Amino acid sequence: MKLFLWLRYAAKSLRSGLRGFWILLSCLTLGVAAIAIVGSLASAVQRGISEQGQPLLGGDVEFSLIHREVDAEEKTYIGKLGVVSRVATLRAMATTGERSALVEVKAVDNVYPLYGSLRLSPAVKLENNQIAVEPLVLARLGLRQGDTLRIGQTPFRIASVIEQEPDRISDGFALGPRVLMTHDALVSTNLIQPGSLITWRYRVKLDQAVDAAGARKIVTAARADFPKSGWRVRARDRAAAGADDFVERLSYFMTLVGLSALVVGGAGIANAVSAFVNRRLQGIAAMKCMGLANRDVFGLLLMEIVLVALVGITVALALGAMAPAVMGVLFGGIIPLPFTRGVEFGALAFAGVTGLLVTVTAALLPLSRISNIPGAALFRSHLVDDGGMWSWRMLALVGVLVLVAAGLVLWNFESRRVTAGYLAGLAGGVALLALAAYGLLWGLRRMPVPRHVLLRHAWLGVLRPGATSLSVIMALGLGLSLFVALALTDATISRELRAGLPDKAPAFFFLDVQNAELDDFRTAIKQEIGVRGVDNAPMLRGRILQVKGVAADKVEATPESSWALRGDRGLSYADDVPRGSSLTAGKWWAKEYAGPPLVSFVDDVGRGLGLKLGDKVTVNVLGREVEAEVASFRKVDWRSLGINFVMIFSPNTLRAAPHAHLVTVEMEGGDEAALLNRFASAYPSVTAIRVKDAIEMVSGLLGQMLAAVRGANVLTLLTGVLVLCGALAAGLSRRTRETVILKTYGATRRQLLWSYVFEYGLLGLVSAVFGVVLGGVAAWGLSYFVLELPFVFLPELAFGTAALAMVLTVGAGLAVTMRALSAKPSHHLRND
Amino acid sequence: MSAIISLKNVHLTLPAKSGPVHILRGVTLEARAGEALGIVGPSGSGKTSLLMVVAGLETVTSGDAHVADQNLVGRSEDQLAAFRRDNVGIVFQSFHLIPTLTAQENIALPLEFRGEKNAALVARDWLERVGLQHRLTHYPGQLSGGEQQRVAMARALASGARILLADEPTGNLDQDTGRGIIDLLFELKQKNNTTLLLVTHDRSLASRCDRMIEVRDGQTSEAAR
Repeated sequence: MKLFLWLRYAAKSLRSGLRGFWILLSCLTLGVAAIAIVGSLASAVQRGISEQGQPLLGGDVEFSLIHREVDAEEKTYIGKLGVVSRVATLRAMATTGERSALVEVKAVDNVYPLYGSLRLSPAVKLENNQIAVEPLVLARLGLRQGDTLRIGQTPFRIASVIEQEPDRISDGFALGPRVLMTHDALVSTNLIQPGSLITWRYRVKLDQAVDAAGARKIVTAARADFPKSGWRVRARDRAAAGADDFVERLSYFMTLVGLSALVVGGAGIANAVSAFVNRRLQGIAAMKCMGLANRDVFGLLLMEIVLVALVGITVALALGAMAPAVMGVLFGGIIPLPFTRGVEFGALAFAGVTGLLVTVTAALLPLSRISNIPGAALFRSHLVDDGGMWSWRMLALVGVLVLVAAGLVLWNFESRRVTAGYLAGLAGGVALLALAAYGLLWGLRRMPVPRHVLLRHAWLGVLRPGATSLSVIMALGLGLSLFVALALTDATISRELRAGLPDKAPAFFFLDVQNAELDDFRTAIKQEIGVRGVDNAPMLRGRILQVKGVAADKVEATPESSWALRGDRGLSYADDVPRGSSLTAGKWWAKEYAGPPLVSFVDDVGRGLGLKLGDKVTVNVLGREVEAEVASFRKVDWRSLGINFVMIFSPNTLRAAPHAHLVTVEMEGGDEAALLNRFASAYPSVTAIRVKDAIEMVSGLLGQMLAAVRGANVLTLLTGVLVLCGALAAGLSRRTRETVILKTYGATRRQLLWSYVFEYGLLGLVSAVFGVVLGGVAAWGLSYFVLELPFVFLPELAFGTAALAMVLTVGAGLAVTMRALSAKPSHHLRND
Repeated sequence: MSAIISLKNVHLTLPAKSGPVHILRGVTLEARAGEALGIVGPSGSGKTSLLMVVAGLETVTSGDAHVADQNLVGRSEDQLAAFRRDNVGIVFQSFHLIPTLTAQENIALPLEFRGEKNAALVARDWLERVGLQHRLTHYPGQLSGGEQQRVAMARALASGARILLADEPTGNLDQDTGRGIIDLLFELKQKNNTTLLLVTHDRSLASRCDRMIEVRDGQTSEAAR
C-alpha cells in the first residue's frame, strides 16, 4: 500500500521536529481544544444528570399537577407503583414585620427524599411550627437560625439551615431561596386556596428496580391510562430537563464559536501549508527528478501535514479529556449541577474528526500547487508557477470535504435549522469577506499611490504580488466580525433588559390574589404613594391536550411555538382585548357571550401550532377538559410587560373554575421596598414579584451566558492574530531581503520601522472595516429577525474594534518583522 | 551498437513575458550506451536545457527525442516521471538532497517508490561504494559539500540508471574535493557501463569524456578535444 509508504516517509521527514509548523499547530490546537473542552464538559454534565436521575428527581417517576392534588383514582394508580412521596411547591412571601422576601416554599412528607439525602444543619426533624431555610433567606431578612419569620398567616421558627437539597434542580427555575416545611405546616399558612399556583408532585420509588427505559415505559402507560388527567409525568432521565437544555444550548453556542475559530484557523493552516510547500520547493522538485509521480509527492506531503495535525489534535483532545476532572477539582463544590469526571469519548471524537477534516480541507489547495512545481525547477527556479487556477478535481474534492464537515456538524447537533443557518452564515460570511477583500485590494491597486516615500512603501507592501494581505484580512476580519456581532448583540439585549424597560412597565406582579380580596387589594394599592396604574387579570394554569383533534405530543409544531405544548401554561379570560395586544385576525367575543367556549391565540404561536380560525383546541384546566374554538389571533407587545397570555378564553369558559388573579402595579417614584413589605404583611397569601429583581436575575444569568460565549469568542480573535503572525512569518525571508537591499541603499531603521507601522496599520484598518460592517450586519440580522429587538449600534465599539485591530496588526507585525529590521546587510549580501 | 540517446532536429521554445525564447534550435545528438559526453558552452547557450530534454524534464517543441528506447514526445508528466525513475539519474551542482531525510533514506526513497523490496540495503550498499558507510544516518546538513555530492551520485545510480546526467557537479566544491568527485563519477560510470552527459564550463574536465559537444546559441557541434 502506497499509503503506508507515504506515512513512513512523512514520519521520517518529521523526525527533525515541528519547526515551521507552530502556526498550524496553534491554530488547530486552539480550535479543536475549544470544541473538545466545551463538548466534554457538556457531555459530563448531561451524563451526570442522567446518572443522578433518581436523587435529582426524588424518585424513579414523578407525577405533577398544578392547582390540584390527585383524585382518589389517580392516587390508587400511583400507590400501586411503589413508595410515594408527596411534595408541594409554591412561591410565597416570607416576612419579619420590617422586611419581606420572595421564597420558594416546599412542603414534604416523612418519606422525603426517596433517593439521595437532605442535609440540614443542624440535622433535625421538622415540627409543624418549624422550617428549614437556605442561607440566602437569613441574609435577605437579616435573621439567624432560631429566629422567627412569617409565611402566609403563620409564624415559623427557623430550626435549621439547608446545606444540600438533592432534588433542587428538578423543581425548575427559582426566583427565590428555598424554605422547607411539613405538609401540615403548609396547610396552616392558609396559602392553599382555590386557584393558588401550587405544584403538587408525587414521586415514586418503584417496587421493582427498573432502568431509565423501564421508567419511561411507566410514564407512557400513565399518560395513556389517564389521558384527561392533565398531569405531567416524567421519568428520572428527564429530572433536570431545564438545566440539561440550558447546558446543551450554552455548549451549542460555544461549540459554534469554537467551530468559527477553527474555520478562521483554517486560513492559518492554509497559509502554513503554503509556506511549507515553499520551504520544500527544492525537495519536491528533487523528488520529481528522481522519478516520483505527482500523486506520490502529494501523498507524502499530505501525510506529513496529517501527522503534524494529529500532534495538535492529540494535545487538544488531551485537554478536552482532562476538562471534566479539572472542573471537578477546581469548581466541584460550587457548580450546582452533577457531572461525571471521566473521559467523554463522543465529544472528543467529534472535535478530533472535525479538526482533521478542517486541516485536510485547508491543506488540499495549497498542496495541489505541487503539480505546478516541475523537476526542472531545480535548474531554473522561475519555472515554479505561483498562480494559475486550481484543478476542478481538487476544487471538487475540497467541496466534498466541506460538505462532509458540514454534515458532521449538522449530525452532531439537534438544532438542525439553527446549525444550518449558522453554517450558511459562516460560508456566506467567508465568501463575502473573500469577495470584499478581493474587491478592496483591486480598488487599492487602481488608486493613486501615495507620494510620501514611507507611505508609498507601505502601500505597495500591502499590494505587492505574493503578499498575504488577502488571508490576513479574511482571517482577522472574520474574527473581528464575530467579536463585533456578539458585542452588539450583547449590547442590544443588555439595553433591552436594563435601560429599555418601557415607561409603563409594571414595578410589581402580585400573584394569587384571591377573588374575595381582589377589590380590597386594588383599592389599597391605589392609595399607595407613587402607584400610577393597577391592572389585573384572572390567572389559571392549564395544558393543551389536543390541537385540531391531534394529541399534543403528535402535533407538528414549529420550533418557535412547540414550547406552548409542553407542560402547564398560564391561561386567562377577558371581556375585552387586553392592553398591549391587537387583533390580527378574527373577532373578539361580544360582552356577556354565552355560547360554546372560544379562545384567542397569540398570532405566531397559534399559527406555529398549525391553527386557523375556527379550529378546535382542547385544554385541561384543573382536571377538566375544555374544548374551545379559535375565534381570533392577537399580536402582543410582550416588551410592555403588561398582563398578557398566549391563550385567552371567553369569560363563560373559565369564570366558574376556582382561580386567583394576577395584579400588576405601575409606579412612578415611591418606595418600592416599603410598599412590598407593607403588602406582604397585609396580604400574607399574595406573592409579590418585583420586576426589577426578576430582570436583574435574568440579566445576571444571561450575562453569565454571554460572558461564556464572549470568552470563547476571544479564541476566534486570538486565532485571527495567530493567522496574522503566520502570514507575516511566511513572508519574513522576502522582507529580510528587501530590508537588506533598502538598508544597503541608505534607508534607516527608523524609516523602515515607520513604513512597516503604516503597512500593518493599513491592513488592520481594512480588516477592522470588514469586521465592523460584517459583524454589524450580522448583529442587526440577529436582533431584527431572531430577537425581534430594536438594534443597538455602539459607535465606540466600532472605533474600539478598529483601534484593537490596528494595535493587533501593528503589534504582531512588528514583533514578527523585528528580525528582518535588525538583519545586517553585510551578512546577508555575503551569503547571497 | 544502437544509440541510447537520440535527439533529431530538436527545437525547444519557452514562453516568456517579452515573447517566446528559442533555446534549442535544431539540436541533433546521439550517444551510445556507456559513452561519456562532455557538454560545454557559454552561459545561456542551452547546455542545461539539453540535459533537461534528455531527462524528460522539458518537452521538446518539435523534433524527435528517443532516450533509453523510449520516445519522450507526447508523454504525460507521470509517464516521464516513471521514465526517469527507471532510466535516468541526475547529479546537480547544488546536490539537492532532501534535508529532512538521512543519507541512506535519500538514496532509498526513489527505490522504495519504484517498489524495490530491499531499498534500505541497496542504499547502504551504494553509500559504501561512494565511501560513506560511516555516514548512513547523517542528515545532509551534517555532511560536507563533497559528501553531499557523493550521496547525490549514489542516489542517481542506485536505481540502476542507464543514463547519468551531471550538471556542473563540481561547481559548488573546492578544487581538490571536485577532483575527487569527478574521479568517483568516472569510476562509477565505468563500473556500471552508464552513459554520462556531463555539463561543465571546464573544458579540461570535459576532455576526460569520450566526446566533447559544444553548445552555442541553442545549436550543438562536435568540439575539438
